[in-house]
Amino acid sequence: MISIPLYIFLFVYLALIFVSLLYIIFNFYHLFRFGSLEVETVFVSFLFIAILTIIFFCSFQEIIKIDWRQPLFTMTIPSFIYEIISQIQIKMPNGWGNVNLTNQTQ
Amino acid sequence: MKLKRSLLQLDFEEKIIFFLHRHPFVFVKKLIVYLGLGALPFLVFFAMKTYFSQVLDNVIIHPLLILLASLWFIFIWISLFQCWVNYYFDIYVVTNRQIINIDQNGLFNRTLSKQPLSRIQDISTESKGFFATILKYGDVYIQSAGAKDRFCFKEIKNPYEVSQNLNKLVRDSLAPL
Repeated sequence: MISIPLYIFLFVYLALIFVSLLYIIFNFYHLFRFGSLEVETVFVSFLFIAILTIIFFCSFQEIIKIDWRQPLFTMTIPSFIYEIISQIQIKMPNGWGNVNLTNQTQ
Repeated sequence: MKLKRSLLQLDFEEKIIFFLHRHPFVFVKKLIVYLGLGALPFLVFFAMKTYFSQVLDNVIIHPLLILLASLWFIFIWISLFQCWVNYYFDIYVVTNRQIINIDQNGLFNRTLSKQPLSRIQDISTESKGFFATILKYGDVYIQSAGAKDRFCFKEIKNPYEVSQNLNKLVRDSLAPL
């Protein structure tokens, strides 16, 4: 039985957050490379970071309440697939020995 | 000055006469749209709580909705910031020698076009719509000799005043020394 946990969504979410952070860094680079350090620029940048921090904080507060280890769904593999796998024998080149997928401890 | 002088590639003796931006109302219009989009997850949440409360208690849908709402708010906020950066870098500069149009479209697309004052042939002004008339903003079109496209100062404050001053500058640039 294979169980897919809920936290795979969390990985996708974190990947998207990472991409957004890269985009924000490029935006700031752009702003301070081509613009000048004025009250307007600094104020808007500060406001942007402050609200973004609030969004991250509120998201974090909600995310930690969830049990991400619970299964998203479980898949039952039919027994005949186990039987097929156990019969597979891979022929390796000379001197490498053959690989048998049956239980090696027997 | 809102942009580094070196980026405008001005000559040493060149003087900046106007530094024009779009009217702030142009940004306010976008701000209202983004605020509406930002309120969308709250509306969806209240609608779901009222009509499909059992869906919100689902162990899979509930975490998914939280992640989606979080991503939505981040996306909206970053887009709004991007809009402001575009607004901030959309600049029209008039010097005693030329006009410069810096058009910022997104993060990696900036067009800088220049036209000497001596080549300007015609300047026309357009102010369309209720808000444009009330708040006194509009477009100034500049037709130059040989240029295929017209130069356009889009949605700037007091377009008629700018057009008059620009006409005066063009006349001065053509006057014999």
